[in-house]
Amino acid sequence: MTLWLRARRAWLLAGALLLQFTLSCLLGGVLVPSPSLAAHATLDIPLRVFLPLILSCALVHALSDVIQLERGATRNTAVADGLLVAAVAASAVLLGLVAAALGSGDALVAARNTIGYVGFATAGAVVLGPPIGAMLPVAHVILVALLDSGRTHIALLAWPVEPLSSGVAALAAVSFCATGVLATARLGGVQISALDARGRR
Amino acid sequence: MSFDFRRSPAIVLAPPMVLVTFFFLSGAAGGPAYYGLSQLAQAASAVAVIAPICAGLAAWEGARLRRGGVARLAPARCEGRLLLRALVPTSVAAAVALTFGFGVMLLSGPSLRASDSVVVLMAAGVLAGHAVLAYAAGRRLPALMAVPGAVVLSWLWIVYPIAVSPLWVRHMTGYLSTCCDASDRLAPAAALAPLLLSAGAILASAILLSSVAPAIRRLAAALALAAGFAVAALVASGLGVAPTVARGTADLVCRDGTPRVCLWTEHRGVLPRVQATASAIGSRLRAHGLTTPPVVTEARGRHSGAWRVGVTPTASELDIERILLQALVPSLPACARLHAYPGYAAFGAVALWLAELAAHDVPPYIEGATPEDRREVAAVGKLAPPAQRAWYSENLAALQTCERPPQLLTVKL
Repeated sequence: MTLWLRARRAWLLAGALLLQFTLSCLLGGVLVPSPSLAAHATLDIPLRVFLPLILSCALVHALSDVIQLERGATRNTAVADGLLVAAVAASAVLLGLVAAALGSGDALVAARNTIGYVGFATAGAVVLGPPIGAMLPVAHVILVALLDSGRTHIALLAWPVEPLSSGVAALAAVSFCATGVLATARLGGVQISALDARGRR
Repeated sequence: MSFDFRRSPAIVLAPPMVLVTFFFLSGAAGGPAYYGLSQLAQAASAVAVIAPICAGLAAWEGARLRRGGVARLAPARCEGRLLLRALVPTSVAAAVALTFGFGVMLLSGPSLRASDSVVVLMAAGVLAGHAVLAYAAGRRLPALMAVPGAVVLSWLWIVYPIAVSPLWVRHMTGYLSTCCDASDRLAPAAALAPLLLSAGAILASAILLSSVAPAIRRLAAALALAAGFAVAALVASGLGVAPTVARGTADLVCRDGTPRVCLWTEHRGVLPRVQATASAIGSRLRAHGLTTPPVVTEARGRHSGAWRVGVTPTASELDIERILLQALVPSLPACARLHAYPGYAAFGAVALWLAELAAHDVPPYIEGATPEDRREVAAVGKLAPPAQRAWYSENLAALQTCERPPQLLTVKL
C-alpha cells in the first residue's frame, strides 16, 4: 500500500488539491474576458472554470506513471486506482462544502467542475491515453470559452460555465466522474500505462 | 527532418488551427477594411488562439525529448539546435495559420506601408516567446503537467490582461484587437513591449535548458523573465486604452480651396465631394453670420481650430453632410470624464440648430437630439438672428468646458 501511495504521488495530489482550493477561494471570482467566436464579443468567464484543471492534470499524471513492480501485485491496483479517483473527487466536494460554509458559495461550482474534469480526464486517459486524456478537459474548457455565446448555449455541452443551480451541469459532472471512476477501476493505471507505451512505439 | 514532421502532432493540429483562426477573424471587431494597418492588426490578434496551441505543441515536443532522456545522453547537438529542430513542425503550423490569417484580412486589398510589417514581426515574436518558453517547460516538467499548463497559461496571459488596470498591461501581450482607426498608427511602444517580453521569455528558456544547478537555474530563469517583464512594462507604461498614436500629417492628401480639405490618402476618392459639401455648409452658415474653420482635416491633435472629420471611402452625400455638421459641434472636453459636465444638456440642441441652418436637407436623425432639443430649437428659431447667434455662442462655449452651464430657453438646469 505504501508503495502504491508513493507510485500514485499521494503528496502531489494532496498539494494540487490544496493549491486548487486556495486559488479557487482567492481568485475563483476573477473574470477572464474571453473572446467569443459565437457572440462576436468578449465573454467574462470566471477563473474558477479553469482552476480545476490543476487537479485533473495532476491526477492523470499520478495514474499514468505505473511502476513495473505493480504488474506482479497480488492486490487489484485497478480498483485502488478507481477508488483514488473517487477519493479525489470526494475531497474536492468536501473542500467545496467547507468553503461554501465559510461564505464562498461559488466554491461549489469549482467543486462540481473538479469532479467533472477529473472524470472526463481519467476516462479519456483510459480510452485514449494519458496525454490526450489530460488535454480533453483543457480543450473542452477553451472551446466552451471560445464558442459560448453567453445567451443561447447548450447547457449539456457548456456545463462548466453553468451556474450552480443548473441540474444539467450537475448531471454532466457526476456522469463524467462516475465514468472516470468505473473506467479506471475496470482497466486501471496498468492499462493506461500499456496504452501509453503502445502510443510511444 | 521528415521524421520530426511524422512524429509531431503539429501536422494533425495545423488544419484545426487554421480553422479556428478563420472563425476567430470572422468574428473580429474589424477596423476599416481599406486600411492595411488595421487589417494586419486584426489578423495579428489571432495570436489569442494560435499562441496557446503553439505553446501546447512546443511543450509536447519538449516533453517528448525529456521522456526520451536526451539530456542524459552524451550531447551530439547543443540545446539550441535541439530546440530549433524540435520546434520546426510547430513553427510551420504557426506560420501557416498566421499567414492564412493575414491573407484573409488582406483580401479586401487595403493600403499597405512597409512600416506596417512591424505587426507581422510582433505576432511572430509573440508566438516564438510562447513556444520557446513552453518547450523549456516541457523539457523540465512532466508532459501531463507541462502541456495543459502551457495551453491554459498562454491563453490566460493573452486574454486576461484586458480586464486588468492599469490599462497598459494589455499592450504587453501582442493582442491588438483595438488597433487601428484610419487616423491612428500603431504606437512603437505597443509593438516593442511584446517583443521585449518575448525576448525575456526566450532568455529564461535558455537558462532553464542550460546545465546549471537546478536551484540556480530556476532562480536565474525567473529573474530573466521578471527582467523582460519589467523592461516591457517600462516601455508600455505610457500607453492608454488603445495601442495607438495619431497618424502623421504626411499621409494627408490636400486640396486647396474654400475650405482647404485634407483627407487620408485612402479617402482621396471622396475629397471633391467633401470639399463641395463643406463649401456649401460654409456658405449657408456665413449667410447667417457664422464662420466655419478654414481647414477640413482628418488629422488629430495638431491643428487647433480645424474642422476635424472622419470619413469613409464609401460615404454618401448625406453621410458627408452629417459628418461635417457633427464635426462643427465640439467633442467632449477631457474634464467631462472626471467631473460633472453641465454642457452635455446643450449637445443635441446645438447639433440640431446647426443642421437646420446649414444642411441641404435636415437629416431625420441627429445624434443626441431629443424631443426636448427639438422644442428648444423651435423656441430659438423664433428669436431674432443676433439673439440666435448669441444663443449659439453661449452654448458652444458651455460645450467646451465643465464649469460653464449652457443657456437654454426651454430647459431649466
